[in-house]
Amino acid sequence: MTETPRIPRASRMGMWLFLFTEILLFGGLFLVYAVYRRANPEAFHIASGELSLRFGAINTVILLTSSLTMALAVSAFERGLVGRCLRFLAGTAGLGLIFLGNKAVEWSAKFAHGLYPGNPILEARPAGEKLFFSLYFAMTGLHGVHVLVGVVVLAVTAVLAGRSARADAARVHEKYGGVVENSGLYWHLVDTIWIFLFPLFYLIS
Amino acid sequence: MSEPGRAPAGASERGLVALWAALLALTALTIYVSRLNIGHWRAVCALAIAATKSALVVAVFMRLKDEDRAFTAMLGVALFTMATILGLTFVDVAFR
Amino acid sequence: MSAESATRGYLDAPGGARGLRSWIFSTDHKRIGVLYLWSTMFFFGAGTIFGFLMRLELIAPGRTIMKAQTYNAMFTLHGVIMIFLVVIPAIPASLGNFFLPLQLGARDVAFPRVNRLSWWIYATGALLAFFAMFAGGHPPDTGWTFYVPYSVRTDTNVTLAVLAALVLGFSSILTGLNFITTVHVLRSPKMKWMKMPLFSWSIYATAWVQVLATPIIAVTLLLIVLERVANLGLFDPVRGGDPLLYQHLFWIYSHPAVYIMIIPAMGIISEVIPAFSGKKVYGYNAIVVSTLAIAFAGYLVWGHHMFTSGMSDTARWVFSFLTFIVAVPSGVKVFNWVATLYKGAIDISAPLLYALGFIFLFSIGGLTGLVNGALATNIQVHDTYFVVAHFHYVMFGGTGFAIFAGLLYWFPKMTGKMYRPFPAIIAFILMFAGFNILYFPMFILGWMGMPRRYYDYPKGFTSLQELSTVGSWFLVAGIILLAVTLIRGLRHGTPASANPWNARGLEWRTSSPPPTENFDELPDPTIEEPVR
Repeated sequence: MTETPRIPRASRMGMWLFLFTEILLFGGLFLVYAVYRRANPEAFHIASGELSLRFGAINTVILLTSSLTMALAVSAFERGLVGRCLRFLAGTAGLGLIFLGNKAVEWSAKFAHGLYPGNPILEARPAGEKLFFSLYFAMTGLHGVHVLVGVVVLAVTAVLAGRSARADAARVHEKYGGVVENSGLYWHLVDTIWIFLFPLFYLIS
Repeated sequence: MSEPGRAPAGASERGLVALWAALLALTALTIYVSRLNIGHWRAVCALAIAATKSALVVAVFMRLKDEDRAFTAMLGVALFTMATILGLTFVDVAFR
Repeated sequence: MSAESATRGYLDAPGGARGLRSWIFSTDHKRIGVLYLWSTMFFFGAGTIFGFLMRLELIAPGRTIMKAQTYNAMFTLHGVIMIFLVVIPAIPASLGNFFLPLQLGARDVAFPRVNRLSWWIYATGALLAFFAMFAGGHPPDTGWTFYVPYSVRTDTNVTLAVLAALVLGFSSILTGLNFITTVHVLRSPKMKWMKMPLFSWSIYATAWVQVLATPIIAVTLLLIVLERVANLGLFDPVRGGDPLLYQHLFWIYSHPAVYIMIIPAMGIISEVIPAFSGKKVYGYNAIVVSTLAIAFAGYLVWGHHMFTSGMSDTARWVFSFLTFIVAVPSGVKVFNWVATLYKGAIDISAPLLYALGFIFLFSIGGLTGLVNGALATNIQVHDTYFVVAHFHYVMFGGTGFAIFAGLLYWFPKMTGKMYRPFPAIIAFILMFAGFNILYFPMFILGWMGMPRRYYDYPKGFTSLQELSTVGSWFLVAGIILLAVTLIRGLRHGTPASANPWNARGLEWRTSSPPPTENFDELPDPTIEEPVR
């Protein structure tokens, strides 16, 4: 059980700086949300009732758990337990996929009820509710894209690192340390964004 | 390129699981609070709990507490920028 | 660290100077900087051609050489190209890339492969912009500001143009985070923060703005795409949307963006003025503080682009007040540069002339910014030629002239050759005269009521418009002469020594051009080399 040093400070700093850009990116959308919610408190309240709290809560739990598995993956990697790390990485990716699956179900339900921009059913509702749904799709959509990217990166890393470990265990740390730790940072940030999205969309009814 | 003398850092596996449990508890709390009839405090509580959860994720899962102060300062700059943007926009929107 | 170097340093890297692959796949910050230099200068030429044609159209009222729709597309493309493809990346990604590691005594930036990626992303954005211009024959006609609702409704290639800008923004972000990390982690161990060269400080401050402001434009442009493609309606008043919110989001980035443009330019001036005054810069600490102050305050003033748009009165006076405050640090710098010149051993050479031109032109631009920033006068001048003149004075007279100053100053270091000084000085005279003849009349035209982005105008404005167009001819002649001079220097110039200007800075302690690893031995910044 060899202990490996953390990836260089420069690499961590660069990743954190990139994460700040993600914070600002979503921040712009949170700004739009804040402005429109202030202007349409009742409508947001009503529209939020259309969302399924159960799905939202389950997805929150899934994402928080995936953060745990991700942190455990990084921890295992640093303790030299490559196999354990890869299993946790796969688990994280899997949870991410389930999250996306739930999202897809939720979205389909909305589409089925005509609650999407441009649809006559939504058009008939007050302006605030239209804004709520546009924001809902834009923000959970952008978030979902980020989850998907994360899932792909984690899955590919798990596969490639797994192969590399079988071939040459010693070099795995050198080659994959950066990706593992930095994808961990990325994944936690994606989770953090959901931590804010959840109450703002699901808990205001 | 590693920092000599720095322990493998991060919490133990137990610590990580404990944090996860805390996050789940906070999630339950925020759902509970959202059902109370406390007017505009609902939003304040929701944001406060979300901020707490995020702070825990950032500090422990993302290991900010183990980094040197430059990282925390940088995060501060980013959050301050976001707050400024929100604040100044509301100087317009709130006074129309 | 030889005085005269027969080798061609990084230019002689494997693959040689000619192999295209060796440039495009290089991770050497110097080569990437040169790639960016050629790219941004190429687009500067393209943007200038659009400007030149626009001025030809405006030489007389009514139709001169193009129809109105074409004119609308031209000013849009002129803006998009100049802002996103030229002025924002020009200094940081080219001169910044080349000289930041050298000035810091480092061998490269923190993330050389990310650096290479950022240029590839820039090239991709440029390609997308090209498609936006020509695909389907419907170049965007919204102005570079893409205001809603027109940008959502217009039947032109807005989606493509906006995606191009988005991609270019991503390139800017990667450059920014690379430079921040480089300054923190790769700075020479003996170089304390308050001993860092002023150009490096300016690149560092700019990098923060690149990282923290650019994502906002990314999400804003993404929303435009979603509005057009998915009918999101977030800015549609009929559906409760607020078009003003778009303007806020747009300017929350685009105002800091002008500081991305000017801060590195000021960094160049802070290098050139002392080098040609034979002195250290006056008030180093004040310049550092004012650099950071400008970067910070740049976030607080965006509303001054929106005074007539319908914002609350409170917002208007708050933003106006903050705008006046941001003028102070810029004034501090101008004072310090002039104080550096005072009683200095002045060497009148081309780089210094452009730097002096910067001080004059930027000051005019800055002072007219105050006219724009005051609420009462803003109502008179908003959306007129006055604004057009103001921003050309600061962005072109400012950043543009600084780019030329920096190019002329660092040319021998980058190429190992010297250009002929006399034509460079003539080019300056042509450009300086042409610039003022082109843009100064616009202040008058604007004050008289000539709106910007208008294809036609009443006959009373003709003589000033004519004068302005003639000015553009001198300016373009100067630009061409400068380009020819530099290219000739590149091809046939006399070999340059390591420190032809006797300047301070670690970049002058290595050969011209530097070797790929930058220094044979990493220099000690605490050893002061004598100047003249």
